[in-house]
Amino acid sequence: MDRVSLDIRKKNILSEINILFRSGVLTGIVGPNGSGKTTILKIIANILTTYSGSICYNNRNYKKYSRLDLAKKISYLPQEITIAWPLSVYNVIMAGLIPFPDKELNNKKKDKRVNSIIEELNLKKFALKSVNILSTGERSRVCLARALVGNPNFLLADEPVSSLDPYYQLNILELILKRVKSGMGAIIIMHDLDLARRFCDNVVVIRDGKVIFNDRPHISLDNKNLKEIFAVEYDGNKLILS
Amino acid sequence: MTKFKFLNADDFFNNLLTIILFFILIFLLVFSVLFGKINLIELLLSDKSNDVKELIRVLILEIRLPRTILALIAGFSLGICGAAMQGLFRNPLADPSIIGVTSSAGLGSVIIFYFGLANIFFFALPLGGIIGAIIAVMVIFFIIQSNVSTLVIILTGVAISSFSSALTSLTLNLSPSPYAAYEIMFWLLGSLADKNLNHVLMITPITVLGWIIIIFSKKWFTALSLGEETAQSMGLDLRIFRSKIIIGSALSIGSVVSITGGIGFIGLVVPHLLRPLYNYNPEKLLLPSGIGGAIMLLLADIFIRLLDINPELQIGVVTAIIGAPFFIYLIFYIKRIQA
Repeated sequence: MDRVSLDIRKKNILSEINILFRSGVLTGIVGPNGSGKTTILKIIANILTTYSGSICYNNRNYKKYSRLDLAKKISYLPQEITIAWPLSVYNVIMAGLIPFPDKELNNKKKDKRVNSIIEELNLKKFALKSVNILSTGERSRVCLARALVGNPNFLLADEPVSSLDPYYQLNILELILKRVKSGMGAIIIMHDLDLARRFCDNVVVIRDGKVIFNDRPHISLDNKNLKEIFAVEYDGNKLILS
Repeated sequence: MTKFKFLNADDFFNNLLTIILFFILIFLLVFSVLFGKINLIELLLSDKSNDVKELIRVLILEIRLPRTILALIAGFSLGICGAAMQGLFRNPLADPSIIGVTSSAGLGSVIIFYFGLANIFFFALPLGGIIGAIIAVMVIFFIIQSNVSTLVIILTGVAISSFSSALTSLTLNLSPSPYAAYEIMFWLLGSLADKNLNHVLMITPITVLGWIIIIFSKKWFTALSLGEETAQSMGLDLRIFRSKIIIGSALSIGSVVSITGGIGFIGLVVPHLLRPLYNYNPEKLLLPSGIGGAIMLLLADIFIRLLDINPELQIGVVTAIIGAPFFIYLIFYIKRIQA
C-alpha cells in the first residue's frame, strides 16, 4: 500500500503536523479558513519546499525522489484554476502527461490515455472545444481529468467542489471515489462538512496549523468538535450555529 | 467508439505551416541579398568588367549580407523571445523588453558611444550592449532567487527599463558634441543598415545560444499555462525555469540590441498573430514565432530599402509606427474576448 507520511515541525503557519495518508483511502481535510490546510497540500504536492521536518512517500524521503518521479505519483488539483490561453480540453488533459517523458509513454499511448479519461469523465461532447467557453462545473471536470490522466497514486485536491452546484459537487466527488475504490489515495480539502461526512473514509481536522483530530468522519466530526472548532452543531439533520 | 484523432491532424497542420513559414523565410533571405535599389542582374548584364564584379562583391558581402543576416537573427530573437516572455508571464502583452534587458543593453551601447570607445576597440559596441544586458539579468536573477511572484519580476523589469532610459537620456544630455548626440539618437531609433559583418558574426553564437536555452525548456511552457502551482506539482522547478528563460532571452536580445538598437513590437505582435494558428499552444509557438519574427523584420527592411526616401527610414521607426496601433487594437481585442 502506498503511503505518504508528513512530519512537519515548523513552517510559520504549521506546527507539529504528523499525518499518514494511505492509498485506497479518501481523506478529507477540514478546518476553519486560514488554518493551514492548503499549505499542507502544497507541501505534499512538492510546491512548497521550505519546511523543516520530513515527508516520506513509501517510507522514502521526498528529497530522494526527482521532481518528475513525484509528479508521476502525486497529482495536485489547485483551488483556483486559471488557464492562460484558450487551450482545447484535449490539450489541457494532455498536459497532465507532461511528467512522462516520450521514452516512457509515446505519443500514441498518451493519446490513448487521454481518450480513455475523456470517456471515463464523459467529456466527449466538448473534447475539442476551448476550456474558456465551458461552465465552471465542466471546467472542474476537465481539470480533474488533467489531474487523473497520469493514473496517480495520490490525488491532492484543494476544495474541488466548493464553487460548484450540487450536481457537479456529487459528480466530481463520485468520480474521485470511484478511483479511490480502485486503489488511489485521495486527500481533499473540504468546507462542506455534510459532504465530508458522506464521502470521506477519514477526516483530518486542522486548526491553527495543528492536527486536532484524525479519525473516521463520525468521530472527527462529532458534535463536540463541531462546536469547538467551527462554532456550529448538528441538530439531528442539519448544521446550525451553536 | 469515436477517438479524437484530431490531435494528429493539428500536428500535421502545424508542421506544414512551420515548413511554409520556413520557405517564405528562405525566399525573403535570397530576395533581400539579391534585390535592392541597385539591380544586380541589370548591372551584370550591362557591363562585364572586373570593376563591376568587384562592386557587386562588395555590395553583396559587405552591405547586403550583413544586413540580411542581422535581420534574420534579430527578427528570430525578437520573435522567439516574445513568445517565451508571453509564455513565461502567461500574458499576451509581454515582450522581450519587459524584463528591462532591451533598454539596459541600449544603455551599455550608448555609454560606449559616449566615450568614443567604438572607434578605439573594434568589438566595444556589441560588448557594451551585452554587458548592459548581463547587468539587468543579474538584478532580475538576484530577485528570482528569493522566490518572488511573477508580478515582482515584471515590476523589477519596469524599474530597470526606466532607470536605463533615464541614464541613456543623461548620456545624451551630457554628450560632448552635437554630432555624438546625433549618432546616439540615430542608433537608438534602431537600424539594420551599415553594420559590420564581423560585429554581426561576433554576436551570432551568443544569440543562438539564447535560442537553444529557450527551445530546450519548451515543454514547461504548456504546463505553465495551467498555472504556476499546477506546473510545479507537475515537476517544474519554477526558479530554474524562469532563470533559463530570462537568461536565454537576455543573451539573444542583449546581443542583438547591442548592434541594431531598439526595434520594438516584433516580439509582441508576431507571437500574437501566430498563436491561434498553433491552437494557443505556447510550446509549439516558439519556433514559428522566431521564423515569423525574421520574416516580419526582413519584410520591413526590404520595404524600407525599396522606398526611395533619403535619408533611409530607420527600421525601428517603421516597426513602431505599424506596431503601436496594432498594440492598441490588441488591448481592445483582449478586453472584448474577456467581456
